[in-house]
Amino acid sequence: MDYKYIEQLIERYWDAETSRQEEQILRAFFSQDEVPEHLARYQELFRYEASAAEEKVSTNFDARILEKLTAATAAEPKRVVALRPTKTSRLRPFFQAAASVSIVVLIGLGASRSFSHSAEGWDYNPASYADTYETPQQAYTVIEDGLEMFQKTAVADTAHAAAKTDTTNR
Amino acid sequence: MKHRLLYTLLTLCLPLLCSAQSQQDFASIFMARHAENSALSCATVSPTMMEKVMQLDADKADKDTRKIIRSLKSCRIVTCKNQAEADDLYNKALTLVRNNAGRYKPFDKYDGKQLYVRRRGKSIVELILLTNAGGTLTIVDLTGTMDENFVKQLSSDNETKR
Repeated sequence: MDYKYIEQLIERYWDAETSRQEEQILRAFFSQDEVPEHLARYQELFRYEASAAEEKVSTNFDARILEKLTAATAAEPKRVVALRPTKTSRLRPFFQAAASVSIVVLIGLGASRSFSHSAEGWDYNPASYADTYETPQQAYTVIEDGLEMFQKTAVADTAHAAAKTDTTNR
Repeated sequence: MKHRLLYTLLTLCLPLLCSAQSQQDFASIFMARHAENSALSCATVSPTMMEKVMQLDADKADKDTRKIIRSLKSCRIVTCKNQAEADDLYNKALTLVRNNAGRYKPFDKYDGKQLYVRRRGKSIVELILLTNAGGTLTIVDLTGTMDENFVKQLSSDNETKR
């Protein structure tokens, strides 16, 4: 048997060029039990389409849907309460930040005290001293001059005090 | 999270950095404030150089001076030989030391000599001599670990005793 007409209809079906009547022809053809082997692969498709086309909603479908919608809207609406931020809750982030900064600074101070020199003794920064002279001999001369300044002022004070005493005695 | 940890560690280190840089002697503070556009000069002997001076041979260094140097860590001598500026700078030095009365205490009050000390616990860690004589301002700033006897010995009239 020549199934060329059916094959042409299938080609037109894939190209979406078939009319309703032609689609009905295809469904009727494939609803048969015996279908040629080379067309068997399309049988499930057109049978499904046929069964899907027969499905219909029940007569009380609209009523059931409306009933459910009415029930949903009739239920009590959920009460939504807006939370008012109190002063404490508004300032909480600042308190948290201040607390964490205080803790960090306290730990840092504690660490610096433990690493620093004792409460007694020389506590200057050695790196802040830049030598003026290159040799220890030159530096020694400078130190001697400095120490001599103490002596000079002491001599001047002694002479001054002696002069005062003389004036008083006279 | 990684950045928060880094920032926390950096904040912890800040007090360490601050404390490391806070201790300056009087002469360096004075020079920082008044040296610009003035005739001030400063000769510095650092702690490193002071140790080298201690290692000088006996024939190159006086025995008594070596004994004194043993208690010292650093020495700065600030001078101004410009008579016109010396008086003004001397007053500024006095103002600076008196404005830091919590840090520097007067030790001696003879005429023409101002001796101030900075104490730390039982030790005297800084000794400052301010003089303005003969039109020359001289500030001698010694730091180290000293005591009262040392300062009195240093500033006593050894010439008279001899």
